[in-house]
Amino acid sequence: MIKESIQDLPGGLALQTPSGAHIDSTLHAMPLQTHYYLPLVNYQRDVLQPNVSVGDKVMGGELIASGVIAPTSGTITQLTHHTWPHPSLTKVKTLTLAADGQDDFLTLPNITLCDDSAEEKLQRIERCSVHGLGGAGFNTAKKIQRVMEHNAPTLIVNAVECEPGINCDDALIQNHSVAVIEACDALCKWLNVSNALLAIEDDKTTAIEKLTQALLAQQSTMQLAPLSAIYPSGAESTLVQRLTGIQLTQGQPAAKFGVLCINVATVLAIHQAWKGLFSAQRILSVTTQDLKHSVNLQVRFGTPIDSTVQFAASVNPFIAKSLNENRASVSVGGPLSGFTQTNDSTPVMATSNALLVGAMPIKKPQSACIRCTDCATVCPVNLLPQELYSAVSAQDTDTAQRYALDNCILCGCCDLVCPANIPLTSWFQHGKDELKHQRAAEQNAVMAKARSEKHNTREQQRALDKAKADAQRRKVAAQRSQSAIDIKAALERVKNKRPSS
Amino acid sequence: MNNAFSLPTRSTGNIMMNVMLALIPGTVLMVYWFGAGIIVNISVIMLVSVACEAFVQMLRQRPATPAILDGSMLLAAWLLGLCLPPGLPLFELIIGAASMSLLGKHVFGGLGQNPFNPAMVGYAVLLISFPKTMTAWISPTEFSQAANAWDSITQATVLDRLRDLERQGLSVYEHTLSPWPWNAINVAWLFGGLYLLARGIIRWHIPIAMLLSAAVAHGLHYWAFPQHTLPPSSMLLSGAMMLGAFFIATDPVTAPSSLKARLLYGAGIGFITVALRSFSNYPEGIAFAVLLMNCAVPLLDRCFVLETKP
Repeated sequence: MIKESIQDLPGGLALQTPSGAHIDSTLHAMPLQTHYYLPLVNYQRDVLQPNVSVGDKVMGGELIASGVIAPTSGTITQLTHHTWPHPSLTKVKTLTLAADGQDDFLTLPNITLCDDSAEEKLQRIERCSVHGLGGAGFNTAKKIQRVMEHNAPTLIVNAVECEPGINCDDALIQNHSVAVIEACDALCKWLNVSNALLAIEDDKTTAIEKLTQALLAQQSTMQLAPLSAIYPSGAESTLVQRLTGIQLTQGQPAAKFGVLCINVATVLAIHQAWKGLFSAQRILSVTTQDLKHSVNLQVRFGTPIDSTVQFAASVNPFIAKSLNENRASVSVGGPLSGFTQTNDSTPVMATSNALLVGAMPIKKPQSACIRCTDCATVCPVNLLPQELYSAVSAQDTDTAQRYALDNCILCGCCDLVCPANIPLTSWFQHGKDELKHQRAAEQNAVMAKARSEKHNTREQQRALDKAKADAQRRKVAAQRSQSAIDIKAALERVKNKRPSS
Repeated sequence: MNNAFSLPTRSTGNIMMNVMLALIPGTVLMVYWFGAGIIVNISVIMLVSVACEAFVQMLRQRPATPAILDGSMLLAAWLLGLCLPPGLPLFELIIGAASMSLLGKHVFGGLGQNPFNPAMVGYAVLLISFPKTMTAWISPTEFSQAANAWDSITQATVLDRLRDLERQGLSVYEHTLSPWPWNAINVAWLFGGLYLLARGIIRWHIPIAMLLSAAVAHGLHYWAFPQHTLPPSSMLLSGAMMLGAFFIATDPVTAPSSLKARLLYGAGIGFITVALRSFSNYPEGIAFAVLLMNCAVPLLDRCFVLETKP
């Protein structure tokens, strides 16, 4: 299935980190915090019901809601509405966990690759709360389950960072290359993978060197697939297209084509889950807004962003300097996909791959679209953003759909090149939300119509039944009155016959 | 948007500035041969159209300065000025500029919304309203003599001349035409166009399709009636062919989006231009060809959805 040569994207941008950028690949483990905030929401934005109540003592790894585990041992102190790392900046139900400092975890038995069943392995992944550590935070067990329907699937391990300024996967590989390859091999063996690729940008020379050594040492069947660094190759649909030529439309999982595209940190988390380790932390890059300095931290889920940034500042003086700049702010995510965070105690979640600190660049004034089509040239999924923009801004969802709004992956390339500084991606996000609402409304309308039709037939049936019953009653009554008349007449006749006295 | 990636970013003003830069050599040559009247035309139209722009922005309660500084109106004014014969009466210039700005652009909602090329709208209004003054080009003179260009004898352009000859039933070759200044000016536009291509301001699809289709159409016509037409080589360098191909037809606002549609659009302009030059009452057909193909843009855009890249 893998094409001979690596397909190039129809668009995208070669985004380079500025020259002289210093990336610190050491993994700095964050010390235990006093409080952790655990939003009760899953990757599909469904609100979850807590399994615990305020005052409960929990162990690390205990399920406090479906798919959410406690990142350390302690006491649940609060159930409040709290901000979570999402561009909408809305609040969701959140549990506060006060750590007891013991950091006791539940113990789970080791799972051996050969002996235990596939069901058990999947369950373990689910139990250890392994979620996609790339950017989407997908439920990993579900993703794998979907691929298992295919015989001999293709495995793509994604070590392509989403954007410049994010280098957590690079840091992970530089520090744990052997464990990564071991984990990849275990996954290959379990899923009976036919083709296994490890995709990585070709400019990550140290990581590639370490991987090559590890591959040799392990005699692994994994194949390295170095890619030229074109943004947005880290996105699943673009990576799958670059490596296999399969074009995925939005919402279409790669699993449908028997391709398991999975982040490298997630693969490691799966392997550790089998060893009994919970997926309670991730590596996160803290980078200055000018992308010149970056550190990588090991952070537990639920750690407030504020303390994370403070810790990064204590490790790297340049980050401390950026933090003290005028108009300095913290945004979650990379320079393209990031959004400014307003609440300091918003927690780190599985999807938080980077924090940018420093003064935000000043926005240039927006002007009218002159249809220069620069946006169409860079679009990695072959859309016409200028036409989409005119449709979405005119609230014409039909036309927007004709221009395949659904296929937009919201990468932000068009924003970067637009000479009129139009925030195209924000418009497309808005358009997608509108479309979602519209579809929900349409579905509601269909359901309401079906309900009302059912109601009508029911009413008709009832009216019919009633009419039938009435007719029956009338008939009976008529018969009855007829017999009454008959009796009367008979009596009359008898009376008449009888000679009067 | 964060630009820590040192991407080459352009702005609308920057694009317009580059196009104006590419117009300079041709304009200098035109001034050299036709005198300062060209400059007068361009300046009057620029002033009037900027005034119109400011007026409309005031009516719409929007800031006028950014709208003027984006350079789109100045560029359109420059292009219209280049198409008008020097010595055109002032009120005609004002009508042309006002139609360009108001009819060509603002009635549709301003920058980016107009379906027709504004400069060509202004030109068409003038050509239809004042055909006599609009086709009277003074004879190309050296700049030394151009000081009294206002008094110089007005003379038709090569294409006008050709039409007259044809009407009289005479062969082209029996009469000497001096197409040299026009050829030189066209070469200057061509160089300007190549600069724009090199800077990535325009893409090759529209100009190449337009020149090819014009050459093929004209070649067929020449093959059928060699007596009545110019040879194809000089046809491409006559009139406003190069200006039209690189500066007018490539206006992104009024051209289609997808590349295939642009090929068709350019080919249509080239073909219609030659058809109008050959069979209509007007000596030059670019303006009407562009306007006609502008009408087809929504249709072309519809036909080529999702086929952006080759």
